[in-house]
Amino acid sequence: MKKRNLRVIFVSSALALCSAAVFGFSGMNSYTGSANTNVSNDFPCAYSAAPTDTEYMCYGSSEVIKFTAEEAAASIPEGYENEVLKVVPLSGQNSAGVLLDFTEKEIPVCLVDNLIFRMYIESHASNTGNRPQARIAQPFDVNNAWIYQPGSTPTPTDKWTEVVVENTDGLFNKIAVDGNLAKFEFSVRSNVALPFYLDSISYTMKANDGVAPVISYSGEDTVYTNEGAKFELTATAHDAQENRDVKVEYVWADPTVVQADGSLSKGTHALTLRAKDYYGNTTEKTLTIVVAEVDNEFPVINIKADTVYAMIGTKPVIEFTATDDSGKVETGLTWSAGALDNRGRLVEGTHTLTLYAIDPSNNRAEKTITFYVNETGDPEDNVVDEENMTAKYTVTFDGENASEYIVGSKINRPQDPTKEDENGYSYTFIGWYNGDNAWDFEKDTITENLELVSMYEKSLIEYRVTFRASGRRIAEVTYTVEDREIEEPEVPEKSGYVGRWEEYTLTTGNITVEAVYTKIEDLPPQTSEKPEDSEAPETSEKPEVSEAPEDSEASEGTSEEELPEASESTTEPKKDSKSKGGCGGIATAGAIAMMTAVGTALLLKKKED
Amino acid sequence: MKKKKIQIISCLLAGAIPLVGGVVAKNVEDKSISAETTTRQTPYEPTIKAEIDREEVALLDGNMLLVASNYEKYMTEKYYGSIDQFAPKPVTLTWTAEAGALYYNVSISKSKDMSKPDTYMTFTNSLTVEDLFSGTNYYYQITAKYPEKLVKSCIFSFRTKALVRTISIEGMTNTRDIGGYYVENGTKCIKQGMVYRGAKIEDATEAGKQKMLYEYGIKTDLDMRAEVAKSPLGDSVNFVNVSGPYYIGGDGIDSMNTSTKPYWTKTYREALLQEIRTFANPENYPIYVHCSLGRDRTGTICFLINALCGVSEMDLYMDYELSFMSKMGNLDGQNPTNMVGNAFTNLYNYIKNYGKGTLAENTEKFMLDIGITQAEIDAIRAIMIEEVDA
Repeated sequence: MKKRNLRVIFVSSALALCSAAVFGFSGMNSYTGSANTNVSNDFPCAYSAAPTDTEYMCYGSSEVIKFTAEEAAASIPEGYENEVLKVVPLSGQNSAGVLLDFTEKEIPVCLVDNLIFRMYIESHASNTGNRPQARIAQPFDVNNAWIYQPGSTPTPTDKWTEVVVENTDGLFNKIAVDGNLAKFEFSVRSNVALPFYLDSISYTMKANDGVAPVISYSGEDTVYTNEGAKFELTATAHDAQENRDVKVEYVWADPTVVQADGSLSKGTHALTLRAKDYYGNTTEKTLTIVVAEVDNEFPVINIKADTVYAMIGTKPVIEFTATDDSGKVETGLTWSAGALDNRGRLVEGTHTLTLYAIDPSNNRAEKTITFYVNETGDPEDNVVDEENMTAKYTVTFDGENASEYIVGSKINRPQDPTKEDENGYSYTFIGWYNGDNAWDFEKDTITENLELVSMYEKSLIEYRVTFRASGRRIAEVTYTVEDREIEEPEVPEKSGYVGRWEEYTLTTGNITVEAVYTKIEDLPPQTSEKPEDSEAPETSEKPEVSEAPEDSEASEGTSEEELPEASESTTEPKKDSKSKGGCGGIATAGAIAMMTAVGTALLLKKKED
Repeated sequence: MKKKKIQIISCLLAGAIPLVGGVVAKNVEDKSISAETTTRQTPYEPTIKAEIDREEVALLDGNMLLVASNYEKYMTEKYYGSIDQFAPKPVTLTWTAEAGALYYNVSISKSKDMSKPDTYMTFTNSLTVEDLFSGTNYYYQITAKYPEKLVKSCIFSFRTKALVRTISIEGMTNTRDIGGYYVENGTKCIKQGMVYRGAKIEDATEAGKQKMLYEYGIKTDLDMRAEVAKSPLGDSVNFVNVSGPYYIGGDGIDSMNTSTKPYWTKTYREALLQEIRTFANPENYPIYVHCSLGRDRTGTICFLINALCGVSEMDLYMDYELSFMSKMGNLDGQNPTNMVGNAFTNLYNYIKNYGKGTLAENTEKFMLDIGITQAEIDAIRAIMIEEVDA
C-alpha cells in the first residue's frame, strides 16, 4: 500500500491552488482512556478514545485501536491506504466515537474548506433509515449539539468511503477555539453496537493569498522610557484572509536589554514587531527604544484644592489630570469609607478623597482633599453674586416673545419667520435686524434691550397668463403687478367661426384665457347701420361646440408640448371695463372683411355695456 | 401674432412699492425699554459664562431621536434589530470662568428659584448630567470657589425636548419611562419618574440593580411573568407577581371574543385587576413594570394606564412600538409591522370601541367592567397626570 502524505487539490471552478494534507496513523497502540501519549508527528490531530457521554455526544465510551498498514491486513477490510484506526463501541453502546483535537496545529478554520474522513462501516441488518450515520459533535460545554449529521441519507457501508464535511456557513467555527480548529468528536451512530474504521483525515485549505498581516501600532516610531520603568508597548495585527487578529511577536535586536522586572537597560535599542499569518506571510516594523536614566520625577496632580465644601447629597464628579515627564501616567482615586451613599452622593460629615497618579517608573503621587459636607455647602464669604449683579436685557422678536438675557451673552436664534405673498410680491426672510444692522447670532452679544425686527427681501411675483383655444394651450405670457403689459397671441382660426379672447383682468394670480368663437352665419349682415340685434350668439369654449381644428396652430408663442402645466388654479375671467379680450382671426380668407366688421361690432357692444 | 398691450394699474400698490430686491422692515410697535436697564452705565459682565443657556436639548440620539421626533406607525421597521438603541443622551454643561478656580459646585433645579436642586461638584469646567426628564425646563447655577472668593454665576437654563424618556440600566434593555406624554390638549402630561417599563430584571448587573433601587428609587417590582418567586431587586421592594395577559382583543389566544376563543378567563381578568390596582396605590410608586421582553404583557398594561390618562393614539402606538428599538424587544424574532399591525392594533381597537366615548372614557369603562373601582381610576389619574412644565 502506497502511503500518501500530501495531496494537492485544484478547485476547478476558481482554479485556485489549495493545499491539502492527509495523514495516516503509525504504530499500533490501543487507547481506552483519555491519555494521548503516542501521537506520531504526521498525524493531523491528536486523537483519543471515545469520550464519555458527560463530555461529548457519543453515547458511551469507545475503544480506539490503531493499526499499521501491515497490521491492518489481518482484520481490516481491504482498500485502506494508510494506517487505520478502529473505533469500537464499549459496553453495548450503539454509537462509537473518537475525539479529535487539532488545537496544536493552529489551523485557522476560516481557511479550511472541508474535512474529509476516509472511513469504512460494516453493514448490519439492524441499521435502517438514516443509520449508520457519521456525525460531528461539539463538546458539551460549548453548545451540547451535533454540528454535522446528514439528514435522511445513511453513510455508505461495506466500502471505503470519504465523508466530506464542508465548512459552509462558518460551520467549523463551532469546533474552533480562538479561530483555530480545535477539539471535536467524530462518531458513527448505529442501531447496533458496530465498529467503524478510519483510514485517514484530510482537509482542504484555501490558497495562500500571499498577503501579510497588517500591524496596527499607534505609538511613535521612537519610544522614550527610563531605566527601571516597566516597558509596555501594544500593537495588534490583522490578517485579511484569516479575517482575524494574529499574534504580534516583539523581537529585540539584543534580547539581553530586557531586565527581569520588565524594565530595559539604558541605551538605544531596536525592537521589531513581527506578525505572521498561517501561511507564513510576514510583516515587520522596527521601533527605536531610547532608555534614559532612572526617572525619579513624580507625576504632578493638577488639582489645587485642598478642601471642598459641598451640600449634603452632592454628587462628586471627579475628573482630574496629572502630568509626568514620561508623558505617561495612570490615575485613580479613593474615597474614605462612608463618604458616599448608594447613589454616589456625598453624605454629611468630613471625608477625604485621595487622588493618585503613577508614572511608568512607578513613582506615585498622591493628593488628599478634605470634603466638608453640610446643609449649606460653601461658606458665604466674599461672595460675588453674578446673578444679582449682572445686567439683564430684554430681547423681543417683532415685538413678541420677550426673553431676558444676561449682558454679554449670545441670543438664541428663533425659528425663521415667514411672510405671506402680498399684492403681487413675495417675501424671503433674510434675517433679524437691530436697526439697520443684521444681528449675527453666532457672534453678537447683548449689551442693551433689543427689539429685533424680521427683515425680508421683497420680490415681484411673475404670474402666468395661459391662452387656450379648443382645449389646447396656445401661448403663455407673464406679467407682474409692476408690468401688466402682455402680448396676446392671435386667436387660432376655426373654420366657420370668428374668434376672440374672452375678457380677463390681470390682478395678482395665474389665469387662463379661453378663446371665444362665434359662428359666422350668426353674425349680423355687414351694413353701415347699426344692426338692431348686433349681439351675435357666442360659443363658450366647449369641445362639443367647437372642435379645435387639427391643423390649427398657435400663430405665435410656445407650442403645447413646450408649455408647463399651470401650477396654480386658474382665475375665472372677469368682464371688466378695464380689460378686454382681443379679436382673433376667421377661418377663411374670404371672410376677412366680415370678420373685421364683427370684431368692431363686438367692441362697440362691450363699450355700450 | 397681433400684439396688444393692456395696462392695468393696481389700485392697491401703485406708487407705494419700494424697490424690488430691496429690504423692507416689518413694522413693529415701539416697545418701551425699562428705565432700570437704560440707565445702567457700566453693566457688570459676568465672569462665568455657560455654553448652554436657554437652549433646547435632546435626550435621545441617533435612530431613537429620529423615530421619537417623527413617529409614524411601523416606523421602527426601518431601524429595528438586535442592537439596543435605548441609551439616553446625557447633557454636558460647559462653562468658562476666571482662571484659578479650585472647584465648582453646580446646582440644577426644575424651578427658576433654584429650589430643591440636585447638586454636583467638579474640578473641571464641565459636567455631564444624566437621567433628566423630558419636556422639562432646567435651571442651573455654577459656584466657582477661588482662594479668596466665591463666585455664584447667573442662573442659566435649558429645556429638554418633549420626547420619550429612555433610561439606561446596565445589563438591561428596552427600558423607558412611560411618562412625559401630553394629555388634555397639551396642558397636562403623564408624570415622569413614576412608572418605568422594560425587560426582565434578571439581566441587570449589580450596578444596574443599584441604580434601579437608589437612582430611580423603585419601590414596586410589578412582574407579569408566570410564577416568579421573588424580585431580583431584593426584599426591600414591593414584589407583585401576576401572570398578565398578552394583549386584549383580536383573535389571538388572549382574545376577548369569547364566542370564538375561550380566552377571557377569570384568571387573566383577575391578573389584570391586580396589575391595574398596583397603579392605584400611591405608596407603590415608583413602579418598574415588566414581563420578559418588556413588550407584550408590559405593552398591554402600559397602554391601559396611559390610555386611561388620555395619552394620544400616536403616543400610545409609539410607546408600544419603541420596544423594537431594543435588543430584548426583538429577541423572539417578531417584526414591528406584524406586532403593531395585529396584536397592538387589536388591543387598541378593542378598547377604542369598548364604549361610545373617548379612548380614555372607554378605557375607564373597560376597567370598571372588570372590577376596578371609580376611586381607583381617579387615584391612578391623580397620581399619573400633572401640569405641563411650559
